[in-house]
Amino acid sequence: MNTADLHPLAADYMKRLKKAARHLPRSRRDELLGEIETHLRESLPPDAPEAEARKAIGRLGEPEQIAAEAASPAEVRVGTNEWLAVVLLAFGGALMPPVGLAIGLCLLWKSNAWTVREKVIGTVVIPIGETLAMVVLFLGPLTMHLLSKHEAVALAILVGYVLLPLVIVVYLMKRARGRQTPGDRDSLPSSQAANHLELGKAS
Amino acid sequence: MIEYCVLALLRDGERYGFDLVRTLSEVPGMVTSEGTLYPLLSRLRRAGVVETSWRESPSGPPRRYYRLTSSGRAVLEAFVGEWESFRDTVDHFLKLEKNA
Repeated sequence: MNTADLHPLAADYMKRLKKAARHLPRSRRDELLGEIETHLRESLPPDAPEAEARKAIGRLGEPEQIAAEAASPAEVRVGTNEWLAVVLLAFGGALMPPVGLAIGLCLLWKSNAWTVREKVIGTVVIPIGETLAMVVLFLGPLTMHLLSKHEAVALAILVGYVLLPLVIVVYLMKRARGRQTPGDRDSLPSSQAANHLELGKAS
Repeated sequence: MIEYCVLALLRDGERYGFDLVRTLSEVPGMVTSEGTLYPLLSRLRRAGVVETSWRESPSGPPRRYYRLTSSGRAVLEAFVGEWESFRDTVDHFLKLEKNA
């Protein structure tokens, strides 16, 4: 984008907007910057007097406010990172401790596909299950007379290290996919589009 | 509400983004910041109720034009129906108050 032929105040404004919009997804940021720059070109000749320039920029509003408006509602994508997060959370601890689990946790907390509550569940449930499985491994055979030692070990491993992690994978992926933003090019049936409008921030 | 005003402005044909924003902001009390209308247009585009295309302009770079999609037209028509019955209901009670 070439801002050399803009009014100096408009060029300053674009600089502030670029900074405020740096966290937006790329396509959304480019669209916003392009539209605002066009608006400035249309409403403000490069040699306009300062008072007129201030008025035009005042009508446009604060760059930070515009960028915040463009950031909502946040786009949720369920991609490789989300899949990797849940797989590593579920099995990373067993397959390559402690690195696998640590990477899984980082990806989980970094993603915007889950609420804090879901992230807490994803963080604590598996270690608790594994700890319980360990307790059963050591104490189980002493207290449970119904199962042989081998059966107790197999059951503890199955539940703590396989079934429970699988339940968590399914739970987290279901939640994330339910929250996923429909793609840019998908056209919605009108009833769904109407819901979409109502859900979007009304002003 | 502004979402539906945008759709209504596009009912008779496509419009240039800047022209759309100026038309809305010239109505007093409607829009406090022209800039926040662009994210709103982008949301409408992503919701599939408007679509955009680039057109050459007589002066300067090409312009992005907005127009209603068939789903946008259906959303607008549904809203107009709801709005009219809502307005009539409110009017009915306001007039009752006045006449009492």
